[in-house]
Amino acid sequence: MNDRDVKNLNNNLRLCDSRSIPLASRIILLLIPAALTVSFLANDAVLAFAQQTPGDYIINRVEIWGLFYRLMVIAFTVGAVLMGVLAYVVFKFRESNKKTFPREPMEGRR
Amino acid sequence: MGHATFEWVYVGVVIALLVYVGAASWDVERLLDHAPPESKVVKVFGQQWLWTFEHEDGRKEVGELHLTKGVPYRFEITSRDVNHAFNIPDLTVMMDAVPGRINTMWVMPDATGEFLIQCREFCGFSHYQMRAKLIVEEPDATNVAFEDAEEKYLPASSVVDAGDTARLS
Amino acid sequence: MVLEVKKPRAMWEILFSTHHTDIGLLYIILAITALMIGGALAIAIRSELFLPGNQGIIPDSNTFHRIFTTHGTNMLFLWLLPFAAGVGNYLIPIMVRYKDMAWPKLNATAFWMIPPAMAMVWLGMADFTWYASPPYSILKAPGPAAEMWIFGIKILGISSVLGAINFIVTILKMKHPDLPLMRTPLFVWATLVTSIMILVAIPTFAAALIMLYTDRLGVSGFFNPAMGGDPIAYQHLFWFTFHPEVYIFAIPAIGMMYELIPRFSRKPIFSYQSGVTAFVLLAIVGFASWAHHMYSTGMSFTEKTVFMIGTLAAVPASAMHVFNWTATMWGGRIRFRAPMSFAFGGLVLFFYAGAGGIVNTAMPLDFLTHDTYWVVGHFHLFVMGLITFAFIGMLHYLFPFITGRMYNERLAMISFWLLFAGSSVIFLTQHVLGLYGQPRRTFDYLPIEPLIIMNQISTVGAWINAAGAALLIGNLITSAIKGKPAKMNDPFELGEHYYDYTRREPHH
Repeated sequence: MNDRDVKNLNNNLRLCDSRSIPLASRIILLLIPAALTVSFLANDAVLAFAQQTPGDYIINRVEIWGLFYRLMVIAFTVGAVLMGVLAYVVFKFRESNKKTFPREPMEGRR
Repeated sequence: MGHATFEWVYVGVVIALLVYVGAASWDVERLLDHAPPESKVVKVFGQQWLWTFEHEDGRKEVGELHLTKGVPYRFEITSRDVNHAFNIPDLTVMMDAVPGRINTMWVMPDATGEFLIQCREFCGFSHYQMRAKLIVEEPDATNVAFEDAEEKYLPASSVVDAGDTARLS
Repeated sequence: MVLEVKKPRAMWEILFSTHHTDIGLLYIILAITALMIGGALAIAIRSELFLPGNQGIIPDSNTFHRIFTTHGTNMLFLWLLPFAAGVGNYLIPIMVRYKDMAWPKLNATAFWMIPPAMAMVWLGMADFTWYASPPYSILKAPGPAAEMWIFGIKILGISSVLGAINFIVTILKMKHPDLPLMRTPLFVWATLVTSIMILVAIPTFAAALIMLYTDRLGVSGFFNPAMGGDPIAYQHLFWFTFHPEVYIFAIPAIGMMYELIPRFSRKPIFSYQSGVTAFVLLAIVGFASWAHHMYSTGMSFTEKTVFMIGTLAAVPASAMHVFNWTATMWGGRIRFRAPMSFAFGGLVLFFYAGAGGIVNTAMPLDFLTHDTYWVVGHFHLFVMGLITFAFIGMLHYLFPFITGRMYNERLAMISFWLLFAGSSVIFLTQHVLGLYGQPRRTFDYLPIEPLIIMNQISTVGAWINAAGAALLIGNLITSAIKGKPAKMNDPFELGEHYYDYTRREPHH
């Protein structure tokens, strides 16, 4: 197939159109991850400036495992989103899906 | 919104998450990095296939390590032959023991009990059973808190003892 | 079609051939043999670890150490690299529209260096882990196993470099003049980028091997503290090569997934440009992160931070690939035959591998995971989950091309599900096992309830994998001999052209 056919392949199922997401929503979309990052980091910023006085030491394993759990929250969230998207894709776009790819009455008959 | 905008947003989110991971890790590592100046030094020697320890006051221990709860310790870790790694899983202590080099790591044991010390760097035949026992004891008059070794022979009612042990809880 | 078993070619014709399809086939057969033997070793390891105490499957810890060293060395250098070279040999000249590789005789030489090296690694069975870290490897490891390993790996490194040179010259210089580089399939880009990385990375370890050998002889003390040397210097040299090396393992697999996923989704790749950018980015940034393997050797805070940043910087490139594949599948009409299933399974496990890796690179968390089973689970998700799955998928895809026959689809799908379930169970469980603190490379472990249970789950997963692998190899072999002849213009009925060079006879 030539280049023109290739460009037109996805017309029925485009991921996104030029008009579809307005500017305000785009800005919000870009700011949400930044806001989340800042909110998570705020806790660490407080810790960063704490001094250690004699008798008032951090407990290593509490800090380390705490960081681990925070990263697991992120990892499992991202994982769930990705697995959800993949499950949706393989379910909806598999060729045997009659809803997405309706079959002609005489299709398959010789 | 073109063909590639969604991908740019996606990469932006990925980078934001990675920045968070990096910054949070940097933070925690910074906290762990500096041993308090009043830490007690414990020399740790790994060798095939056992651990030996030497306290500040000259006490030596083989296969067992006695520490006091609430006291910060700085381990000076080295090896007598091949690479080992000094690991106390319950206290998240983990540092390689490299011959010819002294690596340091500090920890404050915050709970009493017996804990596992194991080797976590392949070192040959008995690597898998190169273990030791960590015993963390309550601070009392017979083990040292912040005072020098001689002071453990003083009566427990001395002012210095009472004040310091109160701050440890 | 090279391997037309019903119409046999004389064996010596294939063995002495310098044609790229023949050499590609030889690489592939050698690699699959190594995969099966390495897998058998893994089954021995996991079966021994089913319960604490000596199960009798592996008699003592020395043998255990030899087995896992050979397992690792074999899988990395005799399965992953030769298979990628084999598929590259087969397809690259076709994809750049040239008649063969740039230097066919050099190509044959590079391949034939591998069997003697394989023999040395296998017969020696060194015991110092595939890292071969000093001082153990220079002071305590018994010879001649150690020397045989050193020489074997040396030869494999040279073979790799010769192959890389051949690929680079073929792609850049022998490419058809009317074919711009930006129109070649992404697999070509993957092979090009991998080959350049090989040229940059391997010489460092070649030097380290020589130093290791002279240290063993006692004439030098590069890594021997008693002679003023530094064991950590070896680790820098080792990881400077072998961190990029893991990308060298992965990038051809990613390139193969770019062959399989668009075809079986009946859609062009979402963004070719993004694929190229991601490959080049990964290749460059991959050299900036080696010391994340050495966080526990006593590095300073600043050093660790630098390498953490270098490691994290490589993640967006991988994320771009995942996005590209997903966006390619979106809106397609996906046919889930064995090649696509394996590729998709690889995609899923790729994410888990990467996510676990990010935990390793978070500096303080390395105290939890370094040298535990977490690391074992993590890297196996990469080498088995991503790379081996992509390779097996590609192997199924090329099967009609190579043999003219179709494999049995139902058996292939069953073997896929067994391997996917088995691999997930083994390696995800090992992440948790590592968090409990079980070190890697241990012949035995403490008889604590959680450790026992997780080891058992992991072993059961390994047996599931073994069943899947047995089915796989049985399917491939019997189908090659008496499978149904494939419809060569479109064996998978995707409605697109297959590698339609079968109308040209293979020896032109």
